[in-house]
Amino acid sequence: MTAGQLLATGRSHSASVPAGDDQHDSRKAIMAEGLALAFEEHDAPVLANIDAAVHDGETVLLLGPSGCGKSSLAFCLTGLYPYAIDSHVEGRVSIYGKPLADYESGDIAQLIGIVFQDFESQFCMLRVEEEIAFCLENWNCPRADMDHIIREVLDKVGLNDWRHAFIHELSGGMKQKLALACALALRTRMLVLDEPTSNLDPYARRQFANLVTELALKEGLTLLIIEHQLDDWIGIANRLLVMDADGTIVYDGLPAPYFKHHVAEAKAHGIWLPRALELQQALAEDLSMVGKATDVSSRDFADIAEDADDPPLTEQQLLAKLSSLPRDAQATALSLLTPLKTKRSYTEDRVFLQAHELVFRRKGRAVIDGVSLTLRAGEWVALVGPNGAGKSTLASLLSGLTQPDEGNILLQGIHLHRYAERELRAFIGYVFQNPEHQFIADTVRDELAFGLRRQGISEEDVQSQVTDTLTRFRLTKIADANPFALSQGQKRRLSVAAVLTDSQQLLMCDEPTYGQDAYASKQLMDMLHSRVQAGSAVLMITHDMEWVEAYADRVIVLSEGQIRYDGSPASLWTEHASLLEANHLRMPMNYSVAGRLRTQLAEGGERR
Amino acid sequence: MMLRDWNPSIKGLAIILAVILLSLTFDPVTPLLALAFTILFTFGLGRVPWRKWLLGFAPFLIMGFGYVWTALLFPRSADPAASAVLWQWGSFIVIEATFHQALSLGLRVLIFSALSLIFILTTDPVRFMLSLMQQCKLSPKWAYGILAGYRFLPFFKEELRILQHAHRMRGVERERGWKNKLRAWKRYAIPLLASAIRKSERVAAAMISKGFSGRRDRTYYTELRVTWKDWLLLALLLGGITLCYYLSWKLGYTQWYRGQL
Amino acid sequence: MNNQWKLRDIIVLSSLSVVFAVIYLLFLQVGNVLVGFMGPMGYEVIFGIWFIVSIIAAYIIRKPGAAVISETVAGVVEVLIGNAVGPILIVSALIQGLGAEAVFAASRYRSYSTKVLMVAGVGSAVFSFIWGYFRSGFGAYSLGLVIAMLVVRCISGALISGLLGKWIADALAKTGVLRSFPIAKERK
Ligand SMILES: Nc1ncnc2c1ncn2[C@@H]1O[C@H](COP(=O)(O)OP(=O)(O)OP(=O)(O)O)[C@@H](O)[C@H]1O
Ligand SMILES: Nc1ncnc2c1ncn2[C@@H]1O[C@H](COP(=O)(O)OP(=O)(O)OP(=O)(O)O)[C@@H](O)[C@H]1O
Ligand SMILES: [Mg+2]
Ligand SMILES: [Mg+2]
Repeated sequence: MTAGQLLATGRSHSASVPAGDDQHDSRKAIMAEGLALAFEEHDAPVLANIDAAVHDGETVLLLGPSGCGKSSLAFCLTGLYPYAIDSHVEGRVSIYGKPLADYESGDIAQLIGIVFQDFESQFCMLRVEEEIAFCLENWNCPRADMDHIIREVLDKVGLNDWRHAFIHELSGGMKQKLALACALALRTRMLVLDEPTSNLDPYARRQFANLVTELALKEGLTLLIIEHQLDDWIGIANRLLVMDADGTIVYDGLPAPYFKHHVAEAKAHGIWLPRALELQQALAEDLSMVGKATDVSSRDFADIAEDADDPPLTEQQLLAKLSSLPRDAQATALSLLTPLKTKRSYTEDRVFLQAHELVFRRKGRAVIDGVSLTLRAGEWVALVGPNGAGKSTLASLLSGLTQPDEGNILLQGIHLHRYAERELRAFIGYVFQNPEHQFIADTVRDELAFGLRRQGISEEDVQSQVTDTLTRFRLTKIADANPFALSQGQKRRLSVAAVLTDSQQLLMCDEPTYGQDAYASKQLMDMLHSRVQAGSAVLMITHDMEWVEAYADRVIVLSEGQIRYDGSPASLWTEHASLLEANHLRMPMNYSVAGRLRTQLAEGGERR
Repeated sequence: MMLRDWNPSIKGLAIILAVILLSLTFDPVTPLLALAFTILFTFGLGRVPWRKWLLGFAPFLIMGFGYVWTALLFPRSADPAASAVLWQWGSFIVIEATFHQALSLGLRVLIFSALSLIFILTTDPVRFMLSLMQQCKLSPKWAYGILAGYRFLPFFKEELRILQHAHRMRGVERERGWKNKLRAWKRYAIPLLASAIRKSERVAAAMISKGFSGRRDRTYYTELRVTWKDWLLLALLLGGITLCYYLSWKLGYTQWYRGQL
Repeated sequence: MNNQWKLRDIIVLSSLSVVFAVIYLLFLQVGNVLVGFMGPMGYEVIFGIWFIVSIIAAYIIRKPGAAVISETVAGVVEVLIGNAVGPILIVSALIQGLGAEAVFAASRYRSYSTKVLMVAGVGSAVFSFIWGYFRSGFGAYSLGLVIAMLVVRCISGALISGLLGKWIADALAKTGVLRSFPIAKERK
């Protein structure tokens, strides 16, 4: 199906929504007509020809490849472009029936609250309490009411103990919660959430989603949610808006039909599919193969791949679907869900790095507290744990950027500090958690070429390799832009790609895939994978258990600066469930579905 | 505890008045007495940690010393006959008048810094800004705008450290020669400033999205008032310094600064 | 030209001031050590650094008041983070800023050439020197020393704040973060 046809389906759906007088329909929280945005007058527009509406009380999910202009669209819809930041905006936007231009400055904020993608820089006061008071003062809340409103919203997000804390001392997750508290203090009718959980650990992420869901149900909030990984939100979404890389809306309608009819387009755009749907597809494929091989009547399995039904979007729906299968098919599905991965046999057993009893203190508190570990050639190790566990700190110690207070690190049998800086850097590559921190050059192209040029490769080869990387990571369009002027996801891609152009043996990647679309994540992972195959070792910090399951040979759970688990992912999921909960982790969906299915089967068996 | 609750605007006013009052003198005794009084005032009325106080004060001891010896070496041409000679070292003569002037110059640095430490160690930046808005009628747009920038402060140190790491990680080596050093310095400074500007832009957008319009009619969560206590403290500080003047005049030391141009 | 201050301009100005307030404080320590060895001349050599933010802010934002306000804010921030020169420093900063502002005002806020920026640095130097003369009691020094100090301070103002300031702002503009500021619009 072409984009045009896609658009047509989208339109036909939105036309079916009963629409009153378009101009002054206050049931439309936001309405945009012919919206276009460019940052420079003569540049190619970032957004073009956007017609979209969000109805009062709706939950809308905005999807699209990284860098397509989702954040920019959110800024336009809430009037921040062009009023707060210079930009060229065309078209009409109205909020609750009134054109943007007719609002006094500050009034829109009483209708729409925003949680921004960049959680670091959306506060203007020093302390938690002051920040919320600032929001209240802005709408002239009577002073007598402030105290209890502050308590109330902090209670809702669970930050009451931190009321007097400095904002800059909060962890990333807490900052994202504070941003939500501010939006709540404004008592708006609508919330815009721009990747509000990108840096949260799995537990905090679910907490956040549950909180928002609950608020939406209880108070009838209108929600516009931007998120790449939509598993936490797809269950409450009433409608999807999908953008393509050119900044136009290509789908506007119910979630289920999109994932039923447009999966191929979604994949081409690099949009994440709900994990449940992916699992179902994989199962359907496997089951039909098993069906053929064992010559069991494949009719039994036809159900799961049945096109007539809506596809399963949530874990619950997938489970329901599987439960409806005949028992033997369920058993087969169970075994297919959790395949026994053959442990890769190492071609070599070369030890790269050995850490012994590392201790690192910050302000007297041991952030890393007696960590010992070994990294071998050809190994892919995932480092997981709750926010603030010390993962980034550990990676920085292992790469020799900071010195441990106690303990020692051997790199190929030699003390780390015995290496010359140059040798060390040629051996260990490190991707920082904050991509902005490692940009050195003025353009994306130069940033990628930097490492290559240092290796003394001929300029021709450098250029061809850079061009190759640009295409692979979909950065060609912005090759000459400044690294600081990219979207969050583009920045992240660039920072990982820049390190991967070098040829280090040991790679430490701090959350390499956050804020990425499906396509880019896959590219990054494949690139890392090929490096591992070639004998490098990868230590990857991540909050995403699906990646751990898909790629890691070994997983290390770190909590409060100590290693709680070090072993294979499969045995972590199946044999150490209590560890998962204690350390804010979550099973990958295939394991949790399998677990629940197994319980159901067992219960069913007893009943019989 | 009292100094902490002193209205920041009045506190600032009191200290500026005190500084002006003290710049009128040009003898060593008045500032010395005032220094003693200020220290009493600081530790008597505010629970100021003496460690912090010393840390803030120490650099100015060095600086005061520098002023003293320069004034001794390069005195304003004065008639040596007019006053008693204290030391003579070959052609280098120190007369009493010069010595007093030099001491006065050095002590002036010390008393000014002691006065300032009162303000620095007992004032919360947010309360200061609130007071500027509520007492001095600074527009909220400016007050909150400046506060938003001020909030970046803790980040800079962290960012600089991380930036250093990043450069080492990407294999940027230590530079030699001042030209390369300058280039290396630029590689730190520019990203740091660039990210500060980016952040500013984002914070501005965030503030507007929180309904901040810069209008003056807004309610305040923390209302700062000026009471008789604030004025009492001001009177106490200035009165104390006047007393120092009186004492030093009684002892026959007071010498006005006659704008020795 | 639009002389209305947007919130964004204010925060950018303030964050520039904060960065340079830290640098000012560092240089105060450097200056203190220099003074310990060289006497007041130690300060004069590096004095230009203390005007740099007014040049950079004015050059980037190009609105009346940018020079004097940025310098004053830097002074306030210095005081807040613990410069024991104290609130009086805010007055010093204000006067230094006024020096640069006077030069920009004289050019009617139209020209921001290298020459104007250097002259603005000198303006700050002169204003600050007059103020310093009274406040620090330079009257105690010989006339020759005082004049030498003034000359050194002016040169320092022209070079360190004028030239270096322009160089920094231009490098910053090249990164693209100043896209929507007058400095970038002029560069095109
Ligand atoms: N301030 C800016 N100046 C210039 N270009 C910008 C600016 N902000 C964003 N862009 C460009 O606009 C495009 C859209 O950016 P935007 O942040 O809206 O993307 P996004 O869809 O939110 O991406 P992501 O999922 O990675 O957050 C990108 O190509 C980006 O490079
Ligand atoms: N600059 C700092 N000053 C003081 N404490 C810090 C600083 N940076 C981090 N910490 C503390 O050190 C601990 C470990 O931080 P670290 O960044 O290593 O956590 P992390 O596991 O990477 O968390 P996340 O998943 O949120 O990235 C945290 O408790 C944090 O509060
Ligand atoms: Mg975005
Ligand atoms: Mg981390």
